[in-house]
Amino acid sequence: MFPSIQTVHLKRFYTKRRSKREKETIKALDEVSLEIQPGELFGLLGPNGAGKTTLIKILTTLLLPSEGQAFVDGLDVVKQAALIRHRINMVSGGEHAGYGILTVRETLWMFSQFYGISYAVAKKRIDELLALVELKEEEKTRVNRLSTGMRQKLNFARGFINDPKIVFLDEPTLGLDVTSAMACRKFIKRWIAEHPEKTVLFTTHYMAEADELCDRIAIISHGKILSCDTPANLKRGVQKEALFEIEAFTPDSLMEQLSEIQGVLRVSSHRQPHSSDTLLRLSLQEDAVIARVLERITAMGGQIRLLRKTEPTLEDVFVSIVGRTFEEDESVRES
Amino acid sequence: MNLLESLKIHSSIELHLRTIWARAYVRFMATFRETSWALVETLLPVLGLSAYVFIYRAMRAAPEFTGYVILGGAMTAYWMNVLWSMASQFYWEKMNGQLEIFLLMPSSRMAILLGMALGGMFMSTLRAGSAFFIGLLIFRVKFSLESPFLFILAFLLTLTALYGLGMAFASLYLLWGREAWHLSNLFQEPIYLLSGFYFPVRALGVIVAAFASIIPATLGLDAMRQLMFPSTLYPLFLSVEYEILILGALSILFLGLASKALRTMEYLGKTTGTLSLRLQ
Amino acid sequence: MAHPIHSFKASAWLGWQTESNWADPLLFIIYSFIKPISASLILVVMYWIVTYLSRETQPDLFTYFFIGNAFFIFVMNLLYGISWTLIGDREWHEMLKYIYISPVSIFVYLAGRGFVKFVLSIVACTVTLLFGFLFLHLQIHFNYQNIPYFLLVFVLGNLGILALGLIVAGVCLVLPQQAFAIGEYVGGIFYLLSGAIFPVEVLPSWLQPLSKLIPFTYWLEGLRRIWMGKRYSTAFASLPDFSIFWILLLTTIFLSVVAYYLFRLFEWIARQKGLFDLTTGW
Repeated sequence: MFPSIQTVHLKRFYTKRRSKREKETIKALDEVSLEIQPGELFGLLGPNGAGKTTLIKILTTLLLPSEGQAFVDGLDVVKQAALIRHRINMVSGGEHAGYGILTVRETLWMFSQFYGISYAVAKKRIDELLALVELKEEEKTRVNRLSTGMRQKLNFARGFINDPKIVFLDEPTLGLDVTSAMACRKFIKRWIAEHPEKTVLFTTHYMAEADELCDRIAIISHGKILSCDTPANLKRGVQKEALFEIEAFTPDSLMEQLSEIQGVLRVSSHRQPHSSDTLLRLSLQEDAVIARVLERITAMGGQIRLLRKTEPTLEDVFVSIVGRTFEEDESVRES
Repeated sequence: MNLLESLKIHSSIELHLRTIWARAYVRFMATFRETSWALVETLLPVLGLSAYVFIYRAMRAAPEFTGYVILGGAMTAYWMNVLWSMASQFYWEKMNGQLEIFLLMPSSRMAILLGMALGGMFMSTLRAGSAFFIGLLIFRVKFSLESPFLFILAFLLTLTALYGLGMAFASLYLLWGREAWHLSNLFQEPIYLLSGFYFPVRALGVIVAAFASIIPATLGLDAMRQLMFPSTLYPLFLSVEYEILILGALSILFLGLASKALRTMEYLGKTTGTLSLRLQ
Repeated sequence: MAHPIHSFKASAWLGWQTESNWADPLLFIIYSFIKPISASLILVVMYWIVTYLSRETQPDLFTYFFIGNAFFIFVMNLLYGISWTLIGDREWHEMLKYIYISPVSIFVYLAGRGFVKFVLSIVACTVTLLFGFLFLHLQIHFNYQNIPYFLLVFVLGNLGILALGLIVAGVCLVLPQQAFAIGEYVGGIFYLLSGAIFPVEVLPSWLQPLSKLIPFTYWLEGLRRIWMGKRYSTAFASLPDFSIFWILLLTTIFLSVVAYYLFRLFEWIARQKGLFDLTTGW
């Protein structure tokens, strides 16, 4: 049996014009090699601009790779695009896609016809999907009258109208409120549970979402796959480190001072909203190092409000692999 | 007036001026940055009006008619701009989801529209000018402009009134969805017919011409044709002086109407909720 | 591939929805009539003025341009319609990418969307011809035995327009900034060169060979011969009807093949550059 998705040394370059004479080549994907097996809910985790959407665009036949190969359901994305399109579908988040003049049901019916589904099957499937995404009551509402969350639910239903073998979900919860995002995640879980032979490639930059949903996760940054494993294994990699969170009022120069302490592996700081406190996240070689850290904070005039030992999250995994937080990685890319 | 009030007025004028400049700037830049437009904007309009020149030739019409077509054909650039880039602009913005952003800004809607008008006039002048001069050159049109001042005055007043009308339309379109697009579409050929873009409007009869004069291009074209081709064979509509006076009045009327309509339509749009309804 | 008839029907239905849903039916019908009749009346008034001044009528020329202009509606509507389908789906509805990743053939999809334009063009053309016949003394000499030949020529020409529409749509795909005006300009060029409203011999001699390369020139010439019952343009006077038909057939086949490969090429470029989900923000 061949993998559902396979990429081999996949590269994609973009040429960006810096000035009239000067061109710059940007590597959106760099030597990406992946194998995703049937039945997997595979997550691609990375900050904005990491290359997730580029990879999805190549796999969904919307973009050609610059070098390397990509296969979907064993078919070459460059040469066998027409065959791939029967087997896949995609849902992108954060957009306003839709023909506003059509109703919810009409939109789904139209797409069912583009996939060659008979009227009877289409009707049944539309009913099922509308029930699944909880849009039954809105089936006669025009798309332009739907709220953002509802429109994304419709987009979800459209993405599953052809009962695809492989589904690409590109940041599907982007811009959604908590309830709608939760409904989307619920839908994905339910769908994969009901169709264990199907494959989902899911991109997100929400760590918790990836953690909650995915069987395996690849961490991507600057177009490169840096690590690929189950969430548990990825976290186990950083488990040997001692992780602590300290909420404190701290002087600005503290970060540098803390990183110099022997046994401190990494420190990241997050300014707390509505207060002058900072949340420090520390990775230490062993628990005992925390004493030196607390001593240094107090010596520098800092006031500690809270101290807790934490379990590793995917963010810790990302930081341990990339050496930067998501936000820092995005700003490095932008600069 | 105390210092505070005068400062307030000053800052409000400054805001308007900055808005006008910023909105016009977008269009200037669109003209210069996309150099591929150069060919499209200069040569293709000439091709468009050439069909009308050749049909006059097939009819064995007098040479002045070639001049009429070139002038009218060049002026279509402004009408198209008024329809598609002024009147329908808020509709495009709505489709792009940008209208909401415009509407929550402190600057006046009139200033935004004025900026669009100025930028649009610049773009259209490139297009109209090239169609006009290349047309005159290729088809060797002879004309005698005895009163350049009146010609320029008629031209400028036509533009002011036309863009004023465009702004009034824009306010109307604030409320509409795809109707706006279709309305602009509908206003193309029928207005070319009624305003006499390709023939002297008097040919439609005095009554129709009088009704058609509500569209500034009608009188503007008639006046400019009279000034370019004084020895015209076909009776023209009104004397140039009257036409210029009416154009002046139309300018004031449409600008005033636009300002009032804009406020009313924005209010109505907010009431009915159609102001930010996308994907129509 | 998805069932082509289902896909075609769904696309045509979508085309009808986007085309007509903005107004009530009566308003829509009035709208569909006013535009073509106005476009014809511009030419009619031009003709009236010239005949008024010269006191000399040219009824054959009148019939010539009136019929040519009425049938040119198909060129403008289809060209414009197909390119706008693509622009709208990409720019505003953001649906082009979803259409593309579905197995529907883009040719079937565009043909389906264009079909509505085609039907509306039939209405507009019929109304224009009727208007000319009833109110402008348009002299038509249509021989009913010619109906099969007329239908053949008519359909062939429209296939050619569809092919040209594909090329224009392909250009829109790869030149997004110019996409908004391309259909209109290409239509304008063909209006000038295909002898739509004046005989080709009126064009400067250096432009005439270009005119003779275009399938629509033969399409309009063929249609006019059927409707006028005579040959008017001296440029084609020596060509018998069957030659006009064969040239039309061959140029249409040639154009269709070119259109297919060009569209595929443009599609390839669009995939290369990732343009299927681009929005210019215009």
